[in-house]
Formats: sequence, C-alpha cells, structure tokens
Amino acid sequence: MSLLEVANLTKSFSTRRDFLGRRTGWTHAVKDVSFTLDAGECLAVVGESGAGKSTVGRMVLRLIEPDTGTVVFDGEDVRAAKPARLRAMRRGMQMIFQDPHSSLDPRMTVEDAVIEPLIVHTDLDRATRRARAQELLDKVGIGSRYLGRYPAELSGGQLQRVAIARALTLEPKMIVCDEPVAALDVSVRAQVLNLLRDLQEELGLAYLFVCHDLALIEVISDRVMVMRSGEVVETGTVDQIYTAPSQDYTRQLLDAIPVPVPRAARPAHPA
Amino acid sequence: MATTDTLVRPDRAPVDPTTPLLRVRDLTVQFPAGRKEWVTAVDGVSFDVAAGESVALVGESGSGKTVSSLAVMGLTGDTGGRIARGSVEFDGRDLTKLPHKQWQGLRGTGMGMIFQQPIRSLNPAYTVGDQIAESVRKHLGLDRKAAMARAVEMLELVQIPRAADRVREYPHAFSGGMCQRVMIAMVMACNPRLLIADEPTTALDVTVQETILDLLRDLQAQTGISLLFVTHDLGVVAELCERVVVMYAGEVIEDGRADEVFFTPQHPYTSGLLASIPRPGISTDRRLTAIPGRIPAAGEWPAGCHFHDRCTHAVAGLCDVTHPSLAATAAGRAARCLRVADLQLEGVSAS
Repeated sequence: MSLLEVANLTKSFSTRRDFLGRRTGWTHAVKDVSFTLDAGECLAVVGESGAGKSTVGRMVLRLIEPDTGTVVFDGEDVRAAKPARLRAMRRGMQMIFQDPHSSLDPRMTVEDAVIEPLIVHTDLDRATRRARAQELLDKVGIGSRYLGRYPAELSGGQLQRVAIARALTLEPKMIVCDEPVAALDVSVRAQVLNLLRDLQEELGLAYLFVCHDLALIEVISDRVMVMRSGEVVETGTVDQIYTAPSQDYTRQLLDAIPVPVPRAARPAHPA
Repeated sequence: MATTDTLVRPDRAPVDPTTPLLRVRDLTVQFPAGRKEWVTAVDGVSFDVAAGESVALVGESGSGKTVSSLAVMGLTGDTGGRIARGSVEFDGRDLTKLPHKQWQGLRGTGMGMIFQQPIRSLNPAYTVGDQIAESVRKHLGLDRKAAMARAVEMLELVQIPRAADRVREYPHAFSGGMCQRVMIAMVMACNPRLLIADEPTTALDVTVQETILDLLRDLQAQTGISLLFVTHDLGVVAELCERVVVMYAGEVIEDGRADEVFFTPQHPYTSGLLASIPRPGISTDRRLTAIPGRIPAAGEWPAGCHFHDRCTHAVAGLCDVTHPSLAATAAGRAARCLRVADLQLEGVSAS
C-alpha cells in the first residue's frame, strides 16, 4: 500500500456566472487524475502553465477542495477528514512554495518562522522548540547568525532553505514541492535541489515535486507524471521519459529544452 | 515576406564596419544609499555590439546586467540612479554627453527594449493596435490610418495569425508568448537598429520560449538588427547569440565568442555556471554541480577578486588581495581572473 493514493481527482473552476450568480462557464483545471506515491519516493509532476499540476499538488493537501475523487494519505481518507483531524493529518504532509518571499511572514524572524509549526501542533516547551529550530536550520545550511534576521535580509536561496526547514519541523512523511527552485538563480538552484535530495535520503521523505522544467527532474525524482490541460499525458520512470517518451507531447517538451552548446558548433542533425 | 522592404529606411546612413554600433566603455552606475552616499551597482563595464551582431549579457540576479542595459537605454535616471563614469557610444555618438531629450528621441528609432513580463509592459486599457500605432505616430510621424496599417504589418511580421483582426483586441486576450510578440512588434515598428531584450523568455513555457527565440532569429536574419540579449540562462544564449559577455557582481568577468566561452571558459564563474545547467541525461550521480555561497549584493563586494570567496581555484594572499582587471587573453577574448594562465577550466562538451 502506497503512502499517497490519489484516484479520479477532478476540479473545475467557474469562469462565468449569470445575473443570479449561477455558474454558466467552467474550465476544467484537473480531469480524472490518478496516481500513487510510495514512502521515500519522489514523483515529479511536469507540465506547462495551465496544465493543472499545481492544482493537483494543492488538492492533495486539501488547500483546494476537489470536486470529485479520493485522496488517501497513509491509509486515511483526506477528503473525509473533519477540520480538527485534517489539521492533525497535515503534520504528515507539508508544502514548499515557489516564492519564499511571499510564503514566509515578513514580520517574523527566521527562527520564529521555523518554531511556529511547533507551537501550533505540539506542546513542547520553549527551550526544546528553540533547540529543534536551530538544529533544523543548521541542517539546511542556515547558520546561527541568521536566527534573528527577517526575511527581507536574506537572499531567495537562503529563504527557500528556511521554508524547507519550516516544512521539516513536524517530521512529515511527504512534502509537496510547488516549483521550489523556479524563482532561484542558476547556481543557487543547484544548491537547493541538492539539499532537497540529501534530505530525502537522510529522512526518507516522499516528494510530490511540481515542476515545469523537465531538465531538472532527473536530479530529484524517481518517476515522472506529465500533464497537459488538466489530464495526465503519461507516467514513467525518469529514464523512460527521457529516452523513450511514448507521447509526442513529452517529446516536444524535451526538444524545447535549450541545449547549452552554441548553435554554430552543434553537430549537424541528420535530416 | 512582403514586409521586408519597408523595414529598410532609405535615409539610414551606411554603417561603418570598423566601429561597432554600440560601444560601452567604463560604464559605472550608482544608486543612492542614504544621504549623499552612493552605492556602485555596475563598475567599469565595457562591451561592444557590432551591427547585426547578437550579444548576450549574462549574469545572475545582482550581477548588474539589467542596470547596464537600462543605462544603455538612457533609463538610469528613471530608476533613481546615476551614471557616475563612462560612456555609451551609439553609432559614433556618446549618448551620455547628449541632452536627455535627444537620448529619449533615440529610443524607438535607434534602439528599443522588451522586458520579462510582457503583460505588464502593455496598457490593458488600449487595444494592441492602438499601442503599436502610438509609437509609430510619435516616432515616425505617420498619420492615424497609416499607423494602424503599420501595426497590422508588424503583427504579421511577428507571426501573429489573423493580424488584421487581432490588432483590435486588448492585451488580456493574448497569452504570455503572444504578448511578447506584440512587444517585439511595437519595438520593431520604428525600425530600431538595436533591440535590447531583458529576459524576454524567462516567464514563458519552454515550448513558447522556443518559438520566441526562433522569431528573434528570423527577425535578425530579415532586418539585420543588432541584439543585446540580457539573460541568466546560458541555454538560451547558446540558441541565439554569437558573443557572450558574462557579468558578476557589477563587473564584466568574461567576454568572447559564444563557442569559445562555452567550450573553453576562462573564468571559474563561467565554468561553474555552465556546470550548473541541468541537461537531461547528463548527471550521472544525480547531483547538480553547484557554486557554493551567493552573489554579494552591491556595496558588499569583497576585496580582491569579487568572486574569490566562492571560487574553488582562489589562492590566499593573491585573489583576496589583488583586484584583477579585464585582460585580453586572445583575439576577441578577455577574462578577469588573476590565475587565467594557470587554469584549465571545464566547459560544455559538443556532444
């Protein structure tokens, strides 16, 4: 039995309403998506903007309420959970967002941001909480001199590390990563991806890794799910997707990745 | 394409092949940092763009690439900064010595710029046709009807289907990629000789990015426009540019032909950037090569070489003391590294 089992997930948003407020237009953001994620595994959800990949990530955590479908996390139905139970379940499943500048409270110090989940979810005393926060920040490579700093004083890469530490505080089994490196510079992006990979190996985390960049996924994921216009196009291991994609769309996505070899110097393609 | 002949302006003076179209020398841009204090964001930047050439200005955030390109456009004052030193020569004239009005007049007919967020660059309250027509009426003095015809012609040039209909639509009806085409149409409408593109494809999907790069390449072949392509993405550079100027912490650290810089980089930072580009099937141990640390912010540049504290080749007592100058290493190549003669740096492989 898998850690996460998602079946027939569907979500539509209303685009138009008539004068009585009744829905008259719909857009199907996600159509009949099913997949599983094992403990300690990383599944990348890849697609272009509008493919529905972020909506899937959020529906798994019930940050967006699905229309139909089931989400079973660790043997428990997420959609049936009452609010108090859902909050408790979210200890096991956390999320990292694309832009740490907007996902972290600008008026909260780095240390407080990491401590906050412990205040909400545990009854640890103050000293233990602080020790735990320091240990986590240390793990993600944020030195103790940053503890009292505010988000505005840190760079994007550092802030994303803080966001990762915050997601780790409650020892989750799964983290939904929504484009966690898309806003970062090239050299820093590699640092953060390597960190996520190391943490996964060390802590046995499962990632649902939402990403638009097919070139990045081999570093982090085991399996790939390609989405387009709300539907799953194909699912496979990274090797399968890279070397023998079964769908033209996946092929197009791969071909569109810029190759860092100047055009003039490339070997001529056999026509 | 039928539009090509109208793109050649008869009154244009023939370009002198020996002097580059754009010649930036010792450009230094500062921004206010408290009372009567200035922090230097771009320090002594020099580079050339020849007529018809495509040059990439590459760097990560905080490197000064955007500040440099805005300075070329004469927009430094509008962003709150000042050009403290140096010159921007366009077509043989030093623009920094010109009255502001004349520099402003060159924007449009001399050079044009497109930005990362095309939707934010367009006015949502006017049709795209009106916005393109506005620029041609202002810069070329066409009447309303001729300007609208020019707008349609330009939308055709940037390969927007059903141009005659779409010219009457508002920006919200266009996708991100289509908006960027509209921006390119608006800039091209006045026949500029230099197009500055600041991260024009960063906000777009990869498949859309590919089509925009193809479009820019076509336009260059058709019109012979020079291109200054500002980006952090070396993959995109390889697709489009003949020459690369790499910036780090406010300075140019390497300059050379694209193939030379990619295959045999002469600065450790360039080598590190090339290594951190993800490519399908390249990483064997499933790790990306990262450059440790982060780019220092303007005003926090370390003594000696700006890169020494992140550099694996740095030598104590040399790199942290002496500030290297940008030195020519071969014909048409320059690097800012004290150890350039000792290092054999890794680039990309052609396969």
